[in-house]
Amino acid sequence: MSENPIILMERVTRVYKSGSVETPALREVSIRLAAGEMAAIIGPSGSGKSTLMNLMGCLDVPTSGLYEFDGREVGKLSSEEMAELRNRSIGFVFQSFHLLPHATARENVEMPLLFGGMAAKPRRERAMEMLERVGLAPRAHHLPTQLSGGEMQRVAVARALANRPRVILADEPTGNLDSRSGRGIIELFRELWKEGVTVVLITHDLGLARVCPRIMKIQDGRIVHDGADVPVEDETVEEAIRSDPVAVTSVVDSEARLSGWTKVLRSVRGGRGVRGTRGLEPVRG
Amino acid sequence: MSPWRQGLFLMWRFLGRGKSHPTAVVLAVGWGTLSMMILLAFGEGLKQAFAEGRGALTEANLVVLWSGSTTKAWQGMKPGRAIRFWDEDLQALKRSIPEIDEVAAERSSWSTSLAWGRSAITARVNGVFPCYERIRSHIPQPGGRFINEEDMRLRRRVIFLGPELKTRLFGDKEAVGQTIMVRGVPFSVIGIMIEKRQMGMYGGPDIAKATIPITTYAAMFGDNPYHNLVYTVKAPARPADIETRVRETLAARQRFDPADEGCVRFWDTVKMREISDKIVIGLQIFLGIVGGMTLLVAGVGLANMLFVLVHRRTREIGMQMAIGAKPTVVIARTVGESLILAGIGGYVGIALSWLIVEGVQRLPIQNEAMQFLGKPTLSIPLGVITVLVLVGIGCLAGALPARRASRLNPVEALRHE
Repeated sequence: MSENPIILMERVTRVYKSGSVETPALREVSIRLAAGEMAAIIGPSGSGKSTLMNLMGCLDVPTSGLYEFDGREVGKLSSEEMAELRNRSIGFVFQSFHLLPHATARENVEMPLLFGGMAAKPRRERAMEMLERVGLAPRAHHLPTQLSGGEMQRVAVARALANRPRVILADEPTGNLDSRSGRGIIELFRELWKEGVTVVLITHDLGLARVCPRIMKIQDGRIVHDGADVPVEDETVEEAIRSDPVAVTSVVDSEARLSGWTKVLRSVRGGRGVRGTRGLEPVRG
Repeated sequence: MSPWRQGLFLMWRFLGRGKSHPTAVVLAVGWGTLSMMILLAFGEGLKQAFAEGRGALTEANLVVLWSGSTTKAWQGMKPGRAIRFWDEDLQALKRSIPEIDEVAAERSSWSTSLAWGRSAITARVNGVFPCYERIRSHIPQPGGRFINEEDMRLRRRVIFLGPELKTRLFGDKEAVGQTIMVRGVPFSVIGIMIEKRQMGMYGGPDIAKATIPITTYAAMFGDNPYHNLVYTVKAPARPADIETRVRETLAARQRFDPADEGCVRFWDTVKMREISDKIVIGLQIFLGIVGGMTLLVAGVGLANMLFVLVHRRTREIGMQMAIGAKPTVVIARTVGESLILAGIGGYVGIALSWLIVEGVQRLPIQNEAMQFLGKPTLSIPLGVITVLVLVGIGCLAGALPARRASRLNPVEALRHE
């Protein structure tokens, strides 16, 4: 693993404007990710995970702060240069796959190679190679509608890998998959990481996050945790859900989305906060 | 591979797949081109029919003169006196006005019975001079002839038939050389007139009349005054230039006031041609406006269709941009698609209009309405201009939303519903 940062963010802020209303999605986020690292970004809905991934993937530019991808300041790149950077250095895997519905699996995988200017024959060969890698070579001529969710996501992974990018950014890659398909995808990411590709997973799934050696938690647009483990409070909630899913889920449904796990637990424990599941009273009515 | 080639490759690979609805675009352009081409083809046919019909009566600065009656008292004579043309009037015109090229007179008998074998019809029979052949374009079909001086001198019973009259009497059979009965008197058919289309006429179309020597006519129907005079004017003189002198010459002979316009009525076909020229120009302007509006409607429809097409593809564009498509790729694909689809539509439109025009030309209908409609003629240059305009509109209509979409943040494009 190299220590050179491939992703360097310093005090990055992203504010969305709708008329005169400004909504900050990221607030002064600083991240340093070395080439070859595998990291998970966790956080509740609306915390800014996807915004962070969009910025990391050069799909968007920060409102303020510095973002350097592999030593190049993204804010100073033209749209053409950004496109080229995305094409050559970044592979995206989206929760909803974003495959071209009227293109076959192979044509979908060929797409980034085409935009990279590769000739037809090597392009076809590389696409088949990538499909083989994800175990889908026999389904190369199927349309996405003829594939299962797991297979579609594997096509998306093959497409992300096609240009042999330095970074794979995956936004909830197992969100729409059953557990078996999800495990297959995670295994694939681990293999890539072992081969030296930088992998960033954005997920709600703590189990998936634990696969990564580095876990960052984002909340209200700020990085609130950056370490090797899942934050303690999240583990607690997870355990609480395991022990009494009805009790916690009802609270999660009503409050958690906006306020985050800690607040949920405070409400469950009567405002005292928790460090464990002991004493956690089920919420009734 | 350059971004332009990448875009064109995508266009080619995915043309007709997904939500692009290429058939609708092809049909829109095809329909626009077809409407425009058919409109212009029939307009051109009408124009030609107008020009041809006009030619049949005005090819030699023709003037037709009818006698009327006085409306003013003159030299002691009361108003209301009928004016009659005689041979002396005709000779006087020929003598005193050198600009007159040829002059002839006509006498007519309406509803004269004509019979051949078992066929019996009634038609108009004119007594005319030999020069009538040139003045009034009574050109014989091959194998026949018009009345000549010998016929006149010998008062021969010879008859020259209009083609419609010939068909009514003889059907498809050969008529020249046959003997027909005119009011029970035998006449030899000496010639049949070639087909001609008249937009202007007096006493019915020439194709439905029979002509005999005016001397024979006088022997058969009595030596009455002429019904009308016809003369042609030598270029560069125009009929209007000598109208006053014609009136004065006749007034001196017939003793009426030259300013009394009721005595002689002129039909100056040159003036008529000028009017019909204006009508043709008006017709062309009208067709141009209708064509322009048709093109506009087709263009708006096409623009709307392509706009919707690109709009529905926004998410796909976002995905392509996320994986590295440059903005040029997006524009090239859409512009290429507009070009190809509009081009195919234009080609289909031109081909269909060609089929329709050919079909109409081959229709066996020979009635007068169809004759006046003329022969629809396709104008390929105008068709090409129509297609180019639609292709241009298509390119703009595709390129503008594609350019907007290509400038969108890929994230926004991906979120597009």
